[in-house]
Amino acid sequence: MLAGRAQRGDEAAFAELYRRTSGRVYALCLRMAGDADEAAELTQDVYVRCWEKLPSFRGDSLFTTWLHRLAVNLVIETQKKRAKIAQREHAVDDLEAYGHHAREAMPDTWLDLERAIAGLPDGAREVLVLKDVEGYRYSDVAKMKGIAVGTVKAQVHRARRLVREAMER
Amino acid sequence: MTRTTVSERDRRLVHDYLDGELPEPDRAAFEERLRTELPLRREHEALAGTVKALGTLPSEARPPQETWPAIAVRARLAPVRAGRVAYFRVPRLAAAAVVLITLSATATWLALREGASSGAGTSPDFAAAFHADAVLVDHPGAQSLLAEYEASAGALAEVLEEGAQVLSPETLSAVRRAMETVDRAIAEARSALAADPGSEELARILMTNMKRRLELLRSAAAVVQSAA
Repeated sequence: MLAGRAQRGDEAAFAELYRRTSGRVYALCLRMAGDADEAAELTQDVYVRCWEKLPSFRGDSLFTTWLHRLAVNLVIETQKKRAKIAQREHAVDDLEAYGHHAREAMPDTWLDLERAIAGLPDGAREVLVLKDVEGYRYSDVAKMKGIAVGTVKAQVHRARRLVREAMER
Repeated sequence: MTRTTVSERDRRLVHDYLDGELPEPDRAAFEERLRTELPLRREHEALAGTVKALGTLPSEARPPQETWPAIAVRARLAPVRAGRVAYFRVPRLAAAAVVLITLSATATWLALREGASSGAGTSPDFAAAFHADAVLVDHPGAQSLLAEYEASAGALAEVLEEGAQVLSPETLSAVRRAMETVDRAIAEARSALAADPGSEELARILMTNMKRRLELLRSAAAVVQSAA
């Protein structure tokens, strides 16, 4: 098993794991961060941490499930730290640049929708991506974010409304 | 009286209905209202379309090519290949250095062209660096970048000293020139940012050049380590 080989320090196996899983991880980071540069850094962070934590992977779940959860936790943790420094607001130019990047990274995607997601406030974007794009339940998202289910619901409802309004403009 | 708008309570019901969170009797009653109340039906259709579209977005995106090499360096892996993405080898390091010279020089020249015409000075000095870094620290991601940048200050001399033993003179020279160019670009961007602290573009250029310097340093260190 590839993950088992990587766990024993096989670097070629780890490289192959990266090749097979990085598309999913990068898409998650890109949408949750709403910024291409940050997404690239987050993806690096995810795999560096994955390499460090691999010895503790016990195989209770699929490797891909474990990795995805690790990625979600890392992105949330990083965004939380960043929010303490400054709340970012996207300028229209940023969203245009993000759109160009999204088109290169995901040629078949719906660009207006990607831009609408990227333009959301940080907290609303995270919960919307986890709930409506990644398919987690409200209770899972609440646990990941460390907030009440009711708060997550309110944020998702607001985010959906904002996305819908952006799409109607 | 016929309603023309949807109340906040009804909006919440639409979300709950779409999420499958309405218990059975409420669900049936809501569906009956959907059949008879046009504004509610429109609200439901619009929101359902948004939620459905979100759920069908592609689950994968192609990461930038440099992501794997950077991971390999940061995780201290030996030079390995991930698919078609190769880790920096010595000839690629030299090529990357040349690209870096072009990128740094061009981007900084373009960014500073307007600043120069508006009187922003470009001669680097300690005060400018201090002021620019103080401005930069408020930008997302800048704190960790500045800390890493400061920590790498003495690393170049060590890398070049070790590199002299194992790298070809051409590669060593390319790395040295790239570092000089990017250092110059950083100093100029700092001066300009100190003169125009509100410029997002200058802050971005400064951070980009700092990242380039760190990336080249990491790549050079990894190549020297693997060649030694």
